[in-house]
Amino acid sequence: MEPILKATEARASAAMATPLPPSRLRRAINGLDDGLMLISAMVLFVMMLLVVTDVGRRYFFNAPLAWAYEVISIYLTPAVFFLAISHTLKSHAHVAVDILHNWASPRTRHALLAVGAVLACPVFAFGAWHAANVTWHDWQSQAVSSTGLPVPTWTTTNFLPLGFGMLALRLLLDAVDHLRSVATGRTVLALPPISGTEELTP
Amino acid sequence: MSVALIVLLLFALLAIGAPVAFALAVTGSIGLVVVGGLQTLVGVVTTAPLSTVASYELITIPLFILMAEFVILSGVAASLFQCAATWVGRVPGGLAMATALAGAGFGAISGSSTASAATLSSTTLPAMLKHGYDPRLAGGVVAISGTLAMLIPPSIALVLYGIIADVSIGQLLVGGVIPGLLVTATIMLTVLVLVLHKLSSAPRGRGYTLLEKLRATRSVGPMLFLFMAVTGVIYTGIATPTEASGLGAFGAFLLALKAGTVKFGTLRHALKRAAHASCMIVLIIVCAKLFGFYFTLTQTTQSLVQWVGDLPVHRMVIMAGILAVYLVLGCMMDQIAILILTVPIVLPLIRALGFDPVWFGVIVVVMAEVGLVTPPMGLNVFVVARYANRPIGEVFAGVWPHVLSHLMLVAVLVAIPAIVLWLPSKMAL
Repeated sequence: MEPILKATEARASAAMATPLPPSRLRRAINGLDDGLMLISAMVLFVMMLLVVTDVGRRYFFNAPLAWAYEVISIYLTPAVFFLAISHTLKSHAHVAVDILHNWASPRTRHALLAVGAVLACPVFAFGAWHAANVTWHDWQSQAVSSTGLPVPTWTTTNFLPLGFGMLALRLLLDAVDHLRSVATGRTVLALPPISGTEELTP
Repeated sequence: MSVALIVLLLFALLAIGAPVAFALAVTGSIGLVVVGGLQTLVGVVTTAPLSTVASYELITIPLFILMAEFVILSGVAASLFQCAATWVGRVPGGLAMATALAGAGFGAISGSSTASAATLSSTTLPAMLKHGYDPRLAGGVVAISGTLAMLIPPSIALVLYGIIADVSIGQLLVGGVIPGLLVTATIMLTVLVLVLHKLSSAPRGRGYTLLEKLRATRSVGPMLFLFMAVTGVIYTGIATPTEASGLGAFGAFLLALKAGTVKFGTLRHALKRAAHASCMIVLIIVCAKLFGFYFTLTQTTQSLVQWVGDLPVHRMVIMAGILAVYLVLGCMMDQIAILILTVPIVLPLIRALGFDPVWFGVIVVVMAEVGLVTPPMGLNVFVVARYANRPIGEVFAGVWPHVLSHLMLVAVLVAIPAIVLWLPSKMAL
C-alpha cells in the first residue's frame, strides 16, 4: 500500500512542480513590467552618475548642480521605486516570512499565497484609483509643483498610481492563478522559492 | 475593532507568508477605515507614499546596494575567502576563522545576511569539510559569519535605522565599525576556544609564504580600499553618507569596468537586483507609514511608551526585555522588516528612558543578527543546512557556542555604551 501512496504523492507533486504556460494577459503585463523595470534600472544608473557629478563639481569647482537635489528627490527616486514595484513582486523579491511554507504542501502554499493576494489587491487598487484621481486633477488644473522646481505637479505625482496600479493588476492575476492552483491541483503559477533557496549571488 | 485585533491580523498575515509590506498595507488600511473612515484612508494613501519616497536621503539605500552589486560583478568578492585563508589558514581552526573574515568582508558587500550565509555555504563549507573539519563547527561558523553582513559598514540596516529614527546615518555607520570588528573577533575567539579545548576537530592547514599572502591580498585590495574610503569620507565629514553611497557605487562600477565584467546584460542584471532590493525595502517603509498612521490615530505608541515607562523596574530591566523581543523576532523575520516594524514604536521609549539612539541602533542590529541563528527558527541555519545539504540539527549544534558568546558581547556593549559611541564622538561634524 505504502509504495502506491508514495507513487501517487510523487505524481501529485510532479504535477504541482511544472507551472502551466502564462496566460496572454499575464504575458502582456509581464512585458509592460519588464519595460518599466528597464526604465527604473536606467534611472538608478543616472542617479548614481548625477550624485557623483554633483559632488565632484561642488568639491573641485565649487559649482554644484543647482537642480540635482530636486530632480533626484521628486523624479528619480519615485521613478526607481514605483516603476519597479510590480516587477519586484514578479521576481519574488518582496520579503516575506515563509517559515510555515517550509512544512506546507504545494497546494496549501498556493492557498496561503492566494489569501495574501486577495487581501492586498483591493488595498493597492484603492490607492492607485485615488492617486490617479489626484494626478488627473493636477493635469486638468495645470497645477505647478511647490518644490524648488516649477514643474507641472502631475509629472511628479503620476508615479504613484502607475506603480500601485501595476501592482494591483499583478496581485489580481496572482490571486486568480493561486486559487486555480488550489482548485485544480496543478501549478498554474510557480511558487516563490523559500528563503535561502533563491539564486546564489554570482 | 481594537488595536489588538488589528495587530493579531498583522501577525496572522505575516505567518501565512504574505509579503511584509502587503501585510502592513492591508492591516493599516483596515485600521484607518475603522478609526477614521474611508476619507482618512484616501487622505493617507494619496499623500504618504509620495512624500515618503520623494526624499534625497533615501537614495543612500539603493546606491549602497548598487555598490555591493558592482563589487560582486567585479568578481573580487570570490577571492575573499581564499585571501583570508592564506593569512590565517595555519592557525588552529584557521579555515573557520577565514570564514569569519570572509563573512566580514562579504558583509561589507552584501546587505543581506541570508544571501551572505548562502554564498559562504557554497564556498567556505566545502573547503572546511575537505580539510577534515568537524561538520558542526564548519556549519556553525558559516551560519554566524553570515550575520556580519548587517553590521559592517556600509550597513543597509543601519542606514535604514537612521532614516526611520531620524538619527545621523554617518554616526550610525561609524558606530558600527568597532562592534563589527568585535563581533568578528568574537567569532574567531569562539572557534579558537572550541578547537583548543578539543570540543571540535579542525586540522591545521598549510602555511603560506609572505609573498603568497601579499599576492592573495592584492586581488581584494581595491575592494578593501573602496570600503575604507567610503567609511573614511563619512568619518572625516568630507561627504555625507548619501554622497558617499553615490561615490562608493561609482567606485565599485569602475572596479567592475577594470575587471572587464561590465556588459549590457551584466550591468542590467546588477541594476535590476539593486532596484528590486531597494524597492522591497521602500515599499515596507511606505506601508509601515500607513500602519503607523493607524497607531498614531489610536495613540497606541504613546500609551505603550507611557505604560512601559511607568513600570516600577530599573530601565536596564526594560532594555533586557526589549532585547529579548528582538532576539525572538530575529528568529523568524528579516532584519529589515524587524527594523521598520519596531523602531517607530520602540524608539520613543528608548529616548524616554534616556538611552542613546545611535547606540541602540547598533545594539538592535547585533541582536537581530543573533536571532537569525537562534534555535528553533534561526533563518540563517536553515539556509546553511539547505545549501550544504547537512542536517539542521547539526548546524544548530555548531552554532550555539556562537550564540552564547554573542549574547555575552551584547551584554558588554550594553554595559559599556562607549564601545559603540566613542568613534562617532570623534567624527568631524
